[in-house]
Amino acid sequence: MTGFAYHRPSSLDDALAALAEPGSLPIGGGSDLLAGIEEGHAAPTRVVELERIPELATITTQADGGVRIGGGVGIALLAEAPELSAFPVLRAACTAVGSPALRAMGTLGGNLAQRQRCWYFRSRVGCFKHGGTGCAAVDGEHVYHAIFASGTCHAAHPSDPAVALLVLDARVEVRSVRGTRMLDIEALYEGAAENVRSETVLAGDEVIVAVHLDAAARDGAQHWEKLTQRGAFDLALVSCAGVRRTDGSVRIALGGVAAGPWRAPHSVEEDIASGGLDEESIEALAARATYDATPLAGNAYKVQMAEAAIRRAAKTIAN
Amino acid sequence: MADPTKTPPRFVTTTVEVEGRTEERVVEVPAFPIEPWGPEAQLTHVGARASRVDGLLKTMGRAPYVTDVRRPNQAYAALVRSRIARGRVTAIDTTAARALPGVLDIITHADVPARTRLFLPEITYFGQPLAAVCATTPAIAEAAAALIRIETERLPHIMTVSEAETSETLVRPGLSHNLMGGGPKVVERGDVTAALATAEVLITREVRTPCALHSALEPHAAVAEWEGDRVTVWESTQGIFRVRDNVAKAFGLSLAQVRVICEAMGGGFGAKNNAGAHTFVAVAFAKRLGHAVACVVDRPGEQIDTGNRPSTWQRVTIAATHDGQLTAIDLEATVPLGIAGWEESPGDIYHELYACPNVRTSVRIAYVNTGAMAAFRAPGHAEGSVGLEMGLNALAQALGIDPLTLRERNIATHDQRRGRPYTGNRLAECYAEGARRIGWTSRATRTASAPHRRRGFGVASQVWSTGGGPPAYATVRLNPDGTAEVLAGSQDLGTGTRTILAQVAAEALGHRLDAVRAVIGDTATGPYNGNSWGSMTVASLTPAVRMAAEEARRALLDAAAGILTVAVDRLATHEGRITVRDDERSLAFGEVTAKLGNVMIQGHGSRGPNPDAVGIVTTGAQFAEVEVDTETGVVRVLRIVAVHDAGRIVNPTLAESQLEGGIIQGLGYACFEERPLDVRMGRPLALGLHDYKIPTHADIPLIDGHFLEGADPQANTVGARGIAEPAIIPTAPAIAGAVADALGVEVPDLPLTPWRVLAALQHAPQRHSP
Amino acid sequence: MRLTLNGRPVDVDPPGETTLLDFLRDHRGLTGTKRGCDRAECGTCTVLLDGAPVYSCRTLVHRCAGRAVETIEGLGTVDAPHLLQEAFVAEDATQCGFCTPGQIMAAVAVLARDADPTDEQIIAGLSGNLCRCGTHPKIVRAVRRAAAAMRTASHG
Repeated sequence: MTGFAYHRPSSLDDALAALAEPGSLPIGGGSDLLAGIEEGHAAPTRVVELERIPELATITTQADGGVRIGGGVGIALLAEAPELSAFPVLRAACTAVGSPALRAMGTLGGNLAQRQRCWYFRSRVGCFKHGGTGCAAVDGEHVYHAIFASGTCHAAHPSDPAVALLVLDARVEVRSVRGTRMLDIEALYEGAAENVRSETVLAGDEVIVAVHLDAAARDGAQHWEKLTQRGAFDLALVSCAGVRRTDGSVRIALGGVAAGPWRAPHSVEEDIASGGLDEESIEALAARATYDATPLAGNAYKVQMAEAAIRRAAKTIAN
Repeated sequence: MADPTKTPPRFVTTTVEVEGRTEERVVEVPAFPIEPWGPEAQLTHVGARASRVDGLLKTMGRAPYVTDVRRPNQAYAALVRSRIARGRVTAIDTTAARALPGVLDIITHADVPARTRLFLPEITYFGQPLAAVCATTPAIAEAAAALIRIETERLPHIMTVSEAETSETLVRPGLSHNLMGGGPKVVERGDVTAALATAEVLITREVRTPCALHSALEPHAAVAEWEGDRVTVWESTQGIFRVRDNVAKAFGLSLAQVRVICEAMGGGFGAKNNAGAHTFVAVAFAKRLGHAVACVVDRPGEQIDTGNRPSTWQRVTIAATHDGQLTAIDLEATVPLGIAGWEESPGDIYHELYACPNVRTSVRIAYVNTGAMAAFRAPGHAEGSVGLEMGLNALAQALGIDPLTLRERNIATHDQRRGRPYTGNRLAECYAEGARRIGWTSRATRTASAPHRRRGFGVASQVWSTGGGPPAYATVRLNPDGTAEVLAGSQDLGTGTRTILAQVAAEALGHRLDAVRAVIGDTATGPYNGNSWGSMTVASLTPAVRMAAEEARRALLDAAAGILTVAVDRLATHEGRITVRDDERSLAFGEVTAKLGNVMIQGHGSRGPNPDAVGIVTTGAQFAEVEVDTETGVVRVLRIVAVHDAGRIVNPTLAESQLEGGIIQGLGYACFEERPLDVRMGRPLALGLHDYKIPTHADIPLIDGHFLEGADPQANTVGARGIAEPAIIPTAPAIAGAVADALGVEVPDLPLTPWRVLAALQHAPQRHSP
Repeated sequence: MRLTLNGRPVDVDPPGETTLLDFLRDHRGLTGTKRGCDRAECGTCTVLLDGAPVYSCRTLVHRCAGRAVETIEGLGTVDAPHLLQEAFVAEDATQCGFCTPGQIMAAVAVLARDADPTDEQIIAGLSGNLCRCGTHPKIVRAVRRAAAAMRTASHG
């Protein structure tokens, strides 16, 4: 690993100022950034610690029941946070991350901003994100790759919490010395399949200060499933989050199928919300959900898995 | 030491089987005959559940692995590897690396003896070492390695058997043909063509098995340090004497100039049988720099370039009578071996496991431009058993016979390959005991845990030559305080060698177990022993230890007889004391040895020849219970029952650990493990232990491992056979059989990943949950 | 920066990129923590950071400033082993032993959370610690045994 300095900021402002200087990168738990440095797709001259900045290190329940999660809060903490008891899908998704050590090391912001696990990307070969052309996975080894292509890159984003946050309509608070902006979680991954430097829209000096959950997303029926090869310590082949809000509306999202977390078509969600579904109609709507899937030669199985996961979600969160 | 029964040593030739290969060995006949411990022998320490003697050190993190060796001024080396599969080096620029503070030295092809075969400019696989850098810390060495620029000229690579067969070019210089032996290796017993022509029932199946990586958690590692013209090498190895040979040969040294030490090692599974590039790099740098140098292979290097179990394609045809007697087995198979390796044939088990008069195997083993294969726990048999057992399952279905019954009807009562009897084959008992334990006859009553899941059961069997054999040597010596040491140039891979040698020595001496210590892992202190491979260590070495201990005991009794002024034949030993028959008197060992002063009692033991014209095998059966999610294709193994006949079990606890270990590796092979390879790029894609998936704690089924009680006094004087490799052979086919049973359709290719299960299900007959 | 290493304060100023694993093994000579993959994929380098298991290979030392690091060396000694270490011996929960320190440190964290864990909790707690020898059943048994012994010890 090439050398770099480590900066523990005294405040958020200090951190943002440090990140505004060229060569600085934010660090959470470090498991993804250090891999990136070793693999040569990140080369900071300085890393800036975020997890102990008070604004980033806390979970706050708002007066209206909404929750603000600091971007530096650990995944392990989130998995059991009493403040999140009304958001079981997020706790379950955090419990599903990696292993106990990876959860203890990782932060929410770091997890959301982690890079693709694609083996071509990680090997820096045949990948446009490393100066190559196109995506070697398309005609190569792509059993773990995406079935919903949204651009050149065919990798499937590895984050589990992102999938849960998508069905919770989470908003991401992003800050830099230039100011603060709020992004829908969906917008965070806009252009993930084309962006070269990152799978998120974050600029180099921006950090995820917090993730906001609205009170309207509390409770209702919430569902999480992660399908893996191994029984643990594995990335999702397909994961599925589903909620039926107390207002009756439904959201379904999948992980492991696209360059970012993937949201089911609204018409499918609406049909689930309308209720009264029998086996046959559930099967039909799951098939409709994956209608736009464009699997590669060797990963069509993910379409089957995705449909199975959507069927199960629909059943669990049905009235 | 006068012993009237002692005759001068003489040397004879005997037959030894190593990893399925038969070798002729010259053997020193033991000095006096020793009565084997038969099944009825009353033993105190042998057969006891003694604690692993180095267990506590391991739990402290204080077992001395090679990666933990720290010598004065020790420096660290890192390898630079090829990023292409085929081509040649045109230029190497080390300027930037040399400029890095802390870099001590860089070596390339011109800097090493030709016999190391290091850094050959002709590139024949991805990951081939091309240079090495040495620095004051491992981190600097790695950083410097990344700065070495190697220019290469690319040539077309060959990755598959069919390409290798049809290509005009050779995968590497020095070959005369890309196929090993120039064509298929055909072995036939009886007349298969005739038997197939008259078959009553005939099935054909095609299966594929994956390329599996050993993935020991401790990487390959060596530390070398020169003192004058002698070098000491600490190496994580399954064979300290073999590494000594390798190093001496590569550097033109005499054997006396090389000392190899391996006190603790973190797993080998067949991949650590020889010195490697890392060894030679450490030795070369240490010589150039004048101080110790460590070279530890990094994890990507470990997964790419330290050996593998090659993939196979197998087409098996089996013929049988209507009542299920096998009449013919015909196998066609291909193996893409890698750039080098030996003939580990998936065909061998087809000739051995089940009784069949007509067997033909035709195996094409091709060299290809990937890393070299290395023996991996039951090489050949683990692969071949998948095709053979899946074929047998298909046959059982075609015949309408229970798959267990079909196997019970075709037990091989003798060694069909070589036309000789076995010292014993209790496979029938293994089947019966295993069936009882898993509840085979009532398996249909076990229902799945959810409507979308299906439960299934499978069975498979195993045969593996585990007789071991010479040469194997041990010394047992008694210290003046009466404690004993066993000296043997063997090594403990995690199997418990140290513990078992102490148990056998304590037994033969009549000593307390805690007064006996095994000193192993050093070519300078222990007499020669072969590699710990082929499930051979117990059967090879423990008889030599017994012999050495018996000789030491005789000397001790001679001395005691003088002290007590009684005839030697009235003396016995038990738990460290010498007792006199019909006499109250007794002496502690230490009381005798103390009186001898500096006279040291030593016994020398050598492993005697193997019995002639008889096969020595471990056999066994494993049963699997699985559940498959038919909507997602996810397989979960719930239970494995394993029953094996391995002769005498010297330590049931350690044997169970090894059995469970083999089963869990077999489970990984069945369910998860495969080396992903981009054939266009000639590049392996799994550089770590996420993309190459070995089982986690969450993947472990209930394991009920059982050994039949008994001993094999014909095999050797301890009556023990091996268990390491037998444990893995039936696991994957038993699981594959269980998955097929659950689904009603076979999944022909391993591992049984969700995508393969779902693909197979598309061809399955519709079945409705009850 | 200062951190607490096995109960003792340590003042250090390593380069920013120094990992906790490099620091322990190469700077402090604490080789009980093993380097199996150096990429957070095997668990042999597991240590405790403020009581939580972390992979020291992907944890920067600077991240440990002001925190407590516990390694296998801080757990027990040959003369006075920790109950987990005794239980690992009693159940033969070591084969090659290379993953053992990491398994034990992960188990310390499991037992710190729950004095009487279910097998499922033990398995979940150790699922990030690979073992290639296949010692898993005995490791889980050893943790169960240690849990019982620790409960007895704390009640006795």
